[in-house]
Amino acid sequence: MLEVKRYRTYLYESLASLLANPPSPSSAPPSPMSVIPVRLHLYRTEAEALNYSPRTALVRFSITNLSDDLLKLVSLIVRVLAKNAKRRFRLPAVGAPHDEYKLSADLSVGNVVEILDDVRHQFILKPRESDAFSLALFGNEGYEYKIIIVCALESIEHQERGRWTTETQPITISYPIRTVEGYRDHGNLSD
Amino acid sequence: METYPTEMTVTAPCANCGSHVSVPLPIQLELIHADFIAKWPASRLEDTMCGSCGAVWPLGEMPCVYWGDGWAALTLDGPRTGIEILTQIANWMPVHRFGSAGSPFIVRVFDSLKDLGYVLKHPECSVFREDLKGRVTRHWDDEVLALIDISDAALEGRVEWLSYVILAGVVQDYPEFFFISQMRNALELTALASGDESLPISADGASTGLDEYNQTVKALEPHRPVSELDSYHIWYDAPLDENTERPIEGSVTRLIRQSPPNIDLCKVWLRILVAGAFLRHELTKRKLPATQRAKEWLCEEKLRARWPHLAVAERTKLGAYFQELTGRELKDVYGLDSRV
Repeated sequence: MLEVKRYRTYLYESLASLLANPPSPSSAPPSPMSVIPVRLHLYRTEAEALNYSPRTALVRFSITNLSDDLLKLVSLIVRVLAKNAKRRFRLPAVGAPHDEYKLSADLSVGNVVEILDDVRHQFILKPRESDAFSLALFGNEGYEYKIIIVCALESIEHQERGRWTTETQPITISYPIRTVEGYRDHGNLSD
Repeated sequence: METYPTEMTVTAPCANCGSHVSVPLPIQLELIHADFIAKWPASRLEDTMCGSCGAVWPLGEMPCVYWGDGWAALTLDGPRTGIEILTQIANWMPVHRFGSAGSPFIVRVFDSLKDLGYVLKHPECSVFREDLKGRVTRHWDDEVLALIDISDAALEGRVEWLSYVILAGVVQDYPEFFFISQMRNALELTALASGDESLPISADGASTGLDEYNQTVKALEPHRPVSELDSYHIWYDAPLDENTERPIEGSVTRLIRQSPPNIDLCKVWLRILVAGAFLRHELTKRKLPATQRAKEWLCEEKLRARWPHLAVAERTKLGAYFQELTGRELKDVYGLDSRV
């Protein structure tokens, strides 16, 4: 268990450094590893917080294993590219979120969030199959976030092949102000 | 406000055996009774049964106050209005009986002791919950939902001032809307959203939405019912069966929902109708697509459904109200003639 934790910490650090200094496409050395056998697909590139839960937005995506190996999802990171104050108001509606969304990340606490840190089970992708994911993202009312999702996978049978990482295109998530508390906590509505 | 005596004992003959029974009003139950309540009426719970024959509720059903861990409960003795229940809580559940200072005073209201017992037995069961403090007015649920949806559609279309005016207009005619928490929150938020510019249709031509909202608060706040319960969270909880997620067998809601008279309902729906028309006009001006959220068809349907039940004098009054709001005749626009 400790090894898994260490491994994840190592991976997290490698990914964080990778995200901080992404290589430009032209400078990437050609290697067999550059052929990524995984596709990360977004259903939508924009999302707005739920009208009954002003700090929660839902993002759906799928990960497809294009290889003939069993792949294990070893990291799933949300990285905030930008956070902008937005003077945008909406009214809340009555409702309650379902417990359907097991994956979550709080964008208000950091710019890089490892989602799998709080997940107890592991995700194994079968060869040539897709798995759909629903991700609940918590943000602050009155802000618009631009994020990407980055995942890292490795082959279970052939670990010597290393890890593959891939990322989504940017997703814009807006959290309109739907509560008076959200307005008061904001403090910056000049734009 | 009606007051309920804080300490009282009711003494009368048992309805079953006729023996003398004294029961405190309300019946006070503590945390140590939780297991008994969970098994009630199979368990013997003092004050709910006749000491001689064991009959349940020897003097008829009585209200009970339960002091649990982190929350307290009130069980009803029969059908009650929201304001009656809140008055009972104000009289029977003083702040000093709750936990440590600074923690919220949570009161859960149940229809019966049986419902409370179910929740104590199945603490994880789902409940259908309503904020009881939002129930001090007459029953305006559909109207509040419609108004808030239209107001939100105005926010979506970036017509913030209109989102405020839509809600404020109804509060102006029916101040009780101000005491519905959902409505008041929306009114405050739309006032904030409407910004620093004066409202195009403000009373003095120079007030902002926030100015007008603050004036409304100043005028209405002193009339807010049961303001002594501000520090309380009061929920009307109906437990759901943990297996079926449906109301538990035999439970019947005891919260009386007072419907407004037909004439008031019609006037509010006319207000909503006008709000929808206003929204459509503003969206068109901004070359934004029309929205179904203006609800004009729904308002017309509501109006037509109630029209036959109005007296001639009420129809005339409604026609005058429509004329005041729109400058037009109900008869000309919707074919509703007060004489027919």
